[in-house]
Amino acid sequence: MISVKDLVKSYDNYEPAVKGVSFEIGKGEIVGLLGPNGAGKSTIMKMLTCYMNPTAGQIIIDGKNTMDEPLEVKKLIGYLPESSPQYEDMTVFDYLNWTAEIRGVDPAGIPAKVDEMISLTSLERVVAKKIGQLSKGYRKRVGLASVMIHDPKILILDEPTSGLDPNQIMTFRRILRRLSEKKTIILSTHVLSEIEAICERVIIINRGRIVADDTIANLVGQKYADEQCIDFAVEAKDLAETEREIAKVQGAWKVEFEKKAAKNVFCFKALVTKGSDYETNLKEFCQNKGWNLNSFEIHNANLEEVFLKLAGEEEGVDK
Amino acid sequence: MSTFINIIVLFGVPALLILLPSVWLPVGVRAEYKKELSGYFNSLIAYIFLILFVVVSNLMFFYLLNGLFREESASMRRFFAMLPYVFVVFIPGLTMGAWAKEKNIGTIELLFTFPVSPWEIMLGKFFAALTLVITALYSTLFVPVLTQIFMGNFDWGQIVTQYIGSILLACCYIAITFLLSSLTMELINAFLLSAITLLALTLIGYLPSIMQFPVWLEWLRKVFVWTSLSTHFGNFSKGVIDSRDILYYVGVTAIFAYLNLRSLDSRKWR
Repeated sequence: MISVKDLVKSYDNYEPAVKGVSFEIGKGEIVGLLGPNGAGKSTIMKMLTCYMNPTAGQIIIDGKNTMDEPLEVKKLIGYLPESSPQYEDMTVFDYLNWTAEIRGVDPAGIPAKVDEMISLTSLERVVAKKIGQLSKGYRKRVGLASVMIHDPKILILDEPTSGLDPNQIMTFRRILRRLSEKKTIILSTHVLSEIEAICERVIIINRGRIVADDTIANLVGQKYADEQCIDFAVEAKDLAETEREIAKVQGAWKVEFEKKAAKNVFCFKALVTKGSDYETNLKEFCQNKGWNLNSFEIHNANLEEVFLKLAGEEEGVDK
Repeated sequence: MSTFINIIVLFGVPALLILLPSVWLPVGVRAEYKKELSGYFNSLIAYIFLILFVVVSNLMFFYLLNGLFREESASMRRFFAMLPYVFVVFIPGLTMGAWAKEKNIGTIELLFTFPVSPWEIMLGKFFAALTLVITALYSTLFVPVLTQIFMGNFDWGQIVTQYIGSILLACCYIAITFLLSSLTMELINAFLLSAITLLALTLIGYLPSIMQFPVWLEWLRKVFVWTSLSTHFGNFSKGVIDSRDILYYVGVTAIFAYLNLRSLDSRKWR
């Protein structure tokens, strides 16, 4: 369905935003593009939707090249840009009608389509309101309704849940899951739980390159099965000092402060590779310092930790 | 019978002008035209534009420089002589948002990922702005009509020529301001840039009449006179239709529309 080969995009003379990305997405897949801010997710999406041309490489969608037949490609795609821009002085109803018209929906079928979208995204209460008066959650839903109105084969959603409250995110996921039966969906996000909740496959991008492209089960269960996560709590006096000192313990590639469990009890999370001697190092260290190690748990890494391993590490080095 | 015909002409012609583009044009042009036109009316720009245009242009016509009633002849030549300057302020006000606003709120990303060509969208916007200008011009028709009724015969051939000239002039102004609007992201920048450019292009035609050009700058004088938007309008306001003027206006409109499309396309390569 979507085939991307050696995609490169550079803006002016800066370092390229996308540096040689290749992937294939089959029909009916739900793929999550995951990466830190500025990784190149939005740029890839803009090229997929023919908003920009690649500097090098090519994109074939349903057998059509995005450079040669942009109009044909655009017909297949429903694209929701990151900020979900809309015309604020139009009412929801007018806006949906207008998008249906400009997307080439048969005029006789427009009213039925608009009704269908309104009920799918539960917009009944705000149909007559101007878009400018709506809350962000409703605006995103209007955006989603407007990109599906022509029944596209492919949905490309750029950070669809950013800025929504938890309730709205749940609603949004429910809508996406309803859709996932029939459509190919690509969605970008930097929220990991999002990907775990919706996607089957994840493409992790960091600094314009793909660092992982696999199903979530494979990533967590096989490729990075050796990655482990240790949760422990330390009883000590001062948080800043504890944090500074704990970081000196050898054996883990990342240690993070998680929360304060009680007065003077601090929870940490350490990411280690199987077979490391972090456990013994830590226990020894705490004994020397005279701190109490209140709890100690080892479990396998989940997607979040795999992501930190792949994309988070470098950012830390930079600082 | 004659009132019946008058009513048809007075209301039927503008209705036709507004409805035609929404019926027989390609889907993209039609949808964008409707959106832009309703956008003008939803955001009050249209009302402000129409009311101010009618008030300002008529005040200028009736009162400025002694006004209409000092003149010997029943002619609207003075009105049309002022029109290029009225347009210098009014048309940028109308079209400043054409692309700048879309860029500013990000809807341009939507427009260019819809399955329609950029030229369809541009044409839709162009017709919408032109419709509003024609509506405004139409509202000035009452001057010759009332004069005809109460005072005496107007030269209708001249009037029709003047209106045709105004519409062609408006096309040029719209095309030029569209290009400038596509180059900026802020409305106020687009407005100022457009107004200054239009004013310059209108004024250079008068430079030779207020200052002496040395012989070796004769070519510059000719360039100024021939490229100015106002010199070509002079013939129309006298009631002369010259094919050179029509060619000039259509050419300028086409060139700037083309440049506009190129400037919009440049987003793909940056």
